[in-house]
Amino acid sequence: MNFMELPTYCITLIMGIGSFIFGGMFFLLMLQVMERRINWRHVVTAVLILIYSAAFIFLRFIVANRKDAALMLTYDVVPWPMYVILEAFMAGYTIIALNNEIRFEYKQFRKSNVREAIDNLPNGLCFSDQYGQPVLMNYNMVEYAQKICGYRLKNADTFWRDLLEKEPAAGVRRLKTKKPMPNQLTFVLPDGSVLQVGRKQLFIPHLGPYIQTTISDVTMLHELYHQAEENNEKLRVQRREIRELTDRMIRTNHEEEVLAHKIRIHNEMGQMILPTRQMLLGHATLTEYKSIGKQWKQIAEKFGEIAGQEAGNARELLQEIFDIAEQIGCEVHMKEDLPASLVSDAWIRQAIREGIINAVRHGMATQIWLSMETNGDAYTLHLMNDGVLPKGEFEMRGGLKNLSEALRAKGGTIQIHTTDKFELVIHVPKNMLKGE
Amino acid sequence: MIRVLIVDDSKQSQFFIKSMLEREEELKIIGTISSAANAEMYCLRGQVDLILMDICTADNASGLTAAAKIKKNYPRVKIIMATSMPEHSFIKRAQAAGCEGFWYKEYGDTDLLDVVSVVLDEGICYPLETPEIQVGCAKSTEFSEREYEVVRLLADGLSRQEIGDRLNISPRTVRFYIEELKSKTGYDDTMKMVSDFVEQKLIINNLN
Repeated sequence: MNFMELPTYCITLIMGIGSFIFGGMFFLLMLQVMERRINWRHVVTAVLILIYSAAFIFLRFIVANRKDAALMLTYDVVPWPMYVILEAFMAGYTIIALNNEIRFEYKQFRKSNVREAIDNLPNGLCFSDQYGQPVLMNYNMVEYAQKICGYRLKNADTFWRDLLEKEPAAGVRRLKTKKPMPNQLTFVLPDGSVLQVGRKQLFIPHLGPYIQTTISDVTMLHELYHQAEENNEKLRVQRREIRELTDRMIRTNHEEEVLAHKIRIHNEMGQMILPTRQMLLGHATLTEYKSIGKQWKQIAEKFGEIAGQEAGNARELLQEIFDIAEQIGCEVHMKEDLPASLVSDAWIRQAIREGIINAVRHGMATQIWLSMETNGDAYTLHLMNDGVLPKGEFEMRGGLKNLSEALRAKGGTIQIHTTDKFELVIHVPKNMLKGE
Repeated sequence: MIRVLIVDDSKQSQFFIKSMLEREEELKIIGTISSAANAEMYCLRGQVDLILMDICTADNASGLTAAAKIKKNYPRVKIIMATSMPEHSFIKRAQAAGCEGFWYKEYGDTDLLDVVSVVLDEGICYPLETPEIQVGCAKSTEFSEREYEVVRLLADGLSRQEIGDRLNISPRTVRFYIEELKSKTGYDDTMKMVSDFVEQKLIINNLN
C-alpha cells in the first residue's frame, strides 16, 4: 500500500505520533541531562523543542485536507531557512547531548571498577556483613590470610576468632608489642616479613553494620620501629650519662676550687723562699725576721685547713643544723644517735631543719628534744619544743607544708601535736630510706 | 660592724674567703656553714647583715633557692652570691631572687672586698656579663636564651617532645634550635655538644 494513498487523518496521525516520539525523545534525553547538570541552556533547548513539536503537529492538523502535500507541508507553510535552522539545531543538540551522555557514563564507577581498585591495593582488604560473610574481598587478603592461618578466608568472624584463640600456621609467630592496640594483631612469617591484621566495625547509613578486616605488610615499618627503639635506647643511655656528668661537675668544680687554693698556697710559699733564704744567710733585720715568721705561720695555718676534713657528709650536715640552732639560742637535746640511714636522707635533715626553724620563728622556742622510735618497718621521729603553743588549730604552711607533701609522696607523713607541747612527728617507712 | 655569714661547701674556700674578709675591720665573720639550706636558720634571730653565699653547696642545696627564701622572709639581710661556675643563668636568677651582689670566684678581676664594699655602700654590685667560655667553635655569649633553655633541658635527659611540652613549642622547633646550636658549635653529635656545655659549667642542673 502506498503511503500517499492513506487517508489524510492517518497521515496526520502517523506524523503527529512521529513528532511526539521525536520531541518526547529529545525531551526525555534532556530531562536526564538536566537532572545532573541544570543550566539555562538546557532549559531554553527544552522549551524550544516543545514549541517545535507542538507547532509541527498543529501545522499538520491545519493542512489535513491537502493529502498530496502531506509530506511537504512543512516546506510549504514554514519558510525554509527557519526549518533548516531548527532541524540543524536539533541535530546538533542531539549529537552534543549523546556525546555528553557517553562521557558521563564512561566516568561512572561500576562494581567492576571498585573490584579492580581494591584488587590493586597493596593491603589485604575484606568487607563483610555483621555475621562475617564477605561482601567484598581482594586477592591480597586471600593470599595474606592463607599465609597467616593456612586456609582461605571464608568468614571474617571465624578468621578473627582463629587469630585470637588458635595457633597460626606453621612457622608463623604472633608478635607481642609493648603497647598492644585493640583490634590489631601482628604476625611474623617464616620469611621474616611482618603482617598486621586489623579489624574495624563500620556502620554505613541506610546499609547497616559492616566489618572491615585489613592485612598490611608492615615489614619495613617494623624494621624502622626496631631501629628507632635501638636509637632511643642509645639516647636514653646518653641522657643518663649527661645527667651523671652534670652531677659529677659539681664535685669536679669543688675539687678544682681546692686545687686553686693549693696553687695559691704554693705560690705564696714560692714567694717566701727568697726572703727566708736571705734570713737564713743572716741578711735580715729583726722586723723582717718577725714578718717572715708570721707569714710562714699563716701558710702553715692554711696548710692545716687544706688538710682538714671535707665538709659534706650527712652526719656533719645534721650536726651543722644543731650547731646553728645552738648559736641562735635554741638547744637541741638528742636522746640517742639517729641511725645512719635516717641521717643520710636529705628529706629527714630538711624535716628536722624545718622543725627547728618553725619552733624558733613562731614559737620562740629555746629547747628542742629530738627522739626516735622504731616501729617494725618504720621510724618515728619526735621533735618537741618548749615554744609558745599556736592559738587555735595549727595549719601547716610554707616550707613545712611542701615538705609534708613531698614526704607523703614518698610514703612518709608529718603530723603536728599541740596538746601539751608543740610536737612534730615524722613517720618514715624504712623502705623509703637508702641502706635499710 | 657588719655581721657576715659565709656559706660554702668547701672548707678551703670558707677559710680563704674568711681570711680575705677578715682584712676588713668593719666586717665580722659570725659563722661559716657548708649548706645553703641552713643559712636561713642564722637569720631567725636577726644576727646576720650580709651573707656570702656559694651557689652549689653541700647537701645539693642551691644557694639561689636559699637566697630567694631568705630575701623573702628577711629582706634586710644583704646577700652576695659567689660561684666559680660561669653558668649562664646564675646572674639572672640571683637578680630575680633579690640578691645585692654577685662575685665570680675565678673569673674576672673583681676582688671580693670590692664587691662587698660596693654592696654595702651603694646597694648593688653585679658583673656586667657572664664570663666568655668557648663551646666548640662558638663563644658562650653567642647563644640565645632559648638555645640555653633547650640545652639545659637536653642535659636533664629530656626528649625533643618533652622539651617542646616544657617550652610550649613544637618538637620540630626544638629540632630547629638543636640544629642551630650544632651549627654554631660545629658539633655533629647532640650529646657531645651538651656534654661540652656541661663540662664548661655553662649548664648546671640538679640544684635543689
